[in-house]
Amino acid sequence: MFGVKHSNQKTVRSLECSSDEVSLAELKEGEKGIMTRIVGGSSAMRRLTELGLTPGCEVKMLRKCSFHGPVEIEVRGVSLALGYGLALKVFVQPIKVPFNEN
Amino acid sequence: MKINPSKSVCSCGNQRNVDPSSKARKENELIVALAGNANVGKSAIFNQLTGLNQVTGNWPGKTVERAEGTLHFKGYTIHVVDLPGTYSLSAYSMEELVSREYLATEKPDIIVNVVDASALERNLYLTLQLLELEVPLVIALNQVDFAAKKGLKIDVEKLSKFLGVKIVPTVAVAGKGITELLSVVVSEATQRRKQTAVNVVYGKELETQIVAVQKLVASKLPQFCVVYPARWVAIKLLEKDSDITEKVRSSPDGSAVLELVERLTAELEKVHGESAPVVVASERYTLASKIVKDTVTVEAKPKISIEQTLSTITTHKILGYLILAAVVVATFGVIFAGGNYLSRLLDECLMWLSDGFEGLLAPILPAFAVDLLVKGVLGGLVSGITIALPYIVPFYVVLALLEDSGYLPRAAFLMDNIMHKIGLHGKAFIPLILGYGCTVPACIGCRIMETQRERLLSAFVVVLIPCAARTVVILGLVGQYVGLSAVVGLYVFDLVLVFALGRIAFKALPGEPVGLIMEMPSYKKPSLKTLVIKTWGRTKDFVYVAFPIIIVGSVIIEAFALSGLMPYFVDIASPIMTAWLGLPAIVAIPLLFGILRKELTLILLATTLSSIGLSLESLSAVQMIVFALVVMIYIPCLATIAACKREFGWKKSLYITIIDVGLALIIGGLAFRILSALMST
Repeated sequence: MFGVKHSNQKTVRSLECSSDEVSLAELKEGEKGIMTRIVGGSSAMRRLTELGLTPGCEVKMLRKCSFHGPVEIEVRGVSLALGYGLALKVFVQPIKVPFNEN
Repeated sequence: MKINPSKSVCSCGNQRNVDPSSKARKENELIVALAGNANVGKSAIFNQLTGLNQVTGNWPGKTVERAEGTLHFKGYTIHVVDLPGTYSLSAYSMEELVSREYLATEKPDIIVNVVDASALERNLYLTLQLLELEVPLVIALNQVDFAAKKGLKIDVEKLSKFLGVKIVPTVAVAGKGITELLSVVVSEATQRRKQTAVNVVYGKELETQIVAVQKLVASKLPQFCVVYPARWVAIKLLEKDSDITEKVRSSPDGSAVLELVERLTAELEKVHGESAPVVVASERYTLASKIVKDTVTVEAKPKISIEQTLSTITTHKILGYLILAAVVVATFGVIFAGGNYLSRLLDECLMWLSDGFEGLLAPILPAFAVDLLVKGVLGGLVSGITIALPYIVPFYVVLALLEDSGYLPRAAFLMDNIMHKIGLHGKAFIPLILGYGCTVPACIGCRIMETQRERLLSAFVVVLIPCAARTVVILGLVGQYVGLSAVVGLYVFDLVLVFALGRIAFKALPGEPVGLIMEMPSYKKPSLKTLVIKTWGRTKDFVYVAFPIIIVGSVIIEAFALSGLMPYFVDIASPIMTAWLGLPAIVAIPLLFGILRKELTLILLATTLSSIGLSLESLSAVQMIVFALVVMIYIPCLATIAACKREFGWKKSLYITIIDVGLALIIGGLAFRILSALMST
């Protein structure tokens, strides 16, 4: 919502450029991203995949808790809560959000 | 409706040994299994079908045990099996493994895949896996009303045609579509046609690999293909499924198959740049996404609804915590105020009953028999009604509200950070809250945690949360005679204790903490009917289990008092009870019975004290607080120990029990000394 304006310079860049990739935890509330990869191979990562967080899918940051708390994201029409540690391991390519949205 | 629920059995809480799938299935008997994601309304459909009261609620992970029930429809006896909610059929979690083994090997006549219409894409992920398993399938497209509210229009016919599966739209909580679902279930189950999902085809590369492995599996492992479909085995192998890979490895010709699989997965991983399980999962989601695009139209962009606003507010950085605190305070306020009022009201009503009975019985029975009947049986019954019920019923109402509305996952979200301090994640907050109701379901509810370590850790702290029965003791004794501030003090102390012990246990238990992954369900307006049914069900369970014990306990204590053995017992118990805890030695008796049920301690405290000519009022404030403290901590009740034993085995349950008893004695003694010193200054 408010965070979108600050991050715009960053997200305007081309989607193909992989250096744009940020961790889910860096996405601001209201921002969207295309999921690129999950690092690490723990069972938690596999469960995230099964919940629909697969490479190429769109993710929207709904809410972030303060003090490195969990994040709530929307993926495939479903709200998911994710611990901060996990959010650091999921990488996304931010999508530019037009100003009129939100 | 022509559904006649017969005498049914439900395994919520205890293991069942009746197996409806035993081979001797009769001609007109059908077995129907309910499968679906967590929190899509499976339990609601199960309850509608069987007329049972399987616990429902708006949070994922309620049904941890297989529940079974029976109904009669169109001359068929139908056994319904409610499987725990799963998002997938992988070998990563016990629940999923058990569910899929059940589906593959027990071969129910038909599987009803309960699908949440408002989250079709994610739900189809499981549906596709059920189709891979080639089991006979019917889809109950549930919560269609909610999907419509979200502005989603689903072309049911098209979806049905594509999947090759009959689909019945339902609104389970309102009972809509249930009869239609049953008709379709019976007609599909009796046809016993083999499910062939012609359209479940994945990407070209994966598909060629599946076919290659499938051919080899079919030729090399024929014994395998009797139980599992060859294509499914192929997919599972390519997915690096640990269970199936092990099974294939131990088969005579397994190595040849595994060699091919290894070569192909390496190829797959090289092309996609992802691990093979991720590739397969992505392929399924790609297909699910395509199906949704073809069959679902977003009619109206949904406006920001009240539910969404509520969700935003209740998970807000600052407001959320204020609301959480308000909810906790309000909960206890309702229980305290409501309980006190009800307790007094009932007490007055029942007082004349006991006096009347005494007058009635005195002329016809000898004195000791009158004492046993009036003080024992009736006294137990009256104290059960006046002390326990008034606090427990309001609690159950509030708990049901919290559960059904969908607030619990929000609370879990907010508490994630704090729970991490004791090595757990936010989800553990749900069993913790349930623990304020009853420790037994809370202990079983620890299964929503992912690893055995986390389950044990959660159970360890859950046991220390004062359940409704302990709340009865705290409110009925300390609240009544000492004051509200002492009650708050006890609860705060308990939370500090839980936190401190949780932290110690977290450091002591080996293993890594796991992060939070939790679906956030939408808020739903709790229905009055479910609320009433749920509260009634829980209260009934409480009355059925607790009252006989309360009455028998009262009679035994009364008999004990009449027998003249009391002084001897007092002598034995006095070193710990009097010297260390500063309580009358005879209090050991209610504490002993408290192992059966915690609220008994208060009820029997009144009885035992009156047997030596004292009353509750004759205890000092310090004594009351020490007593309540000891009751809060000292030992999990028998039912809890049994539940722990089932979840973690004898050894660990014994450790928990011993730790709690030791703690209670240490803390009780220290509290006696500290409080006495404070009071005298």
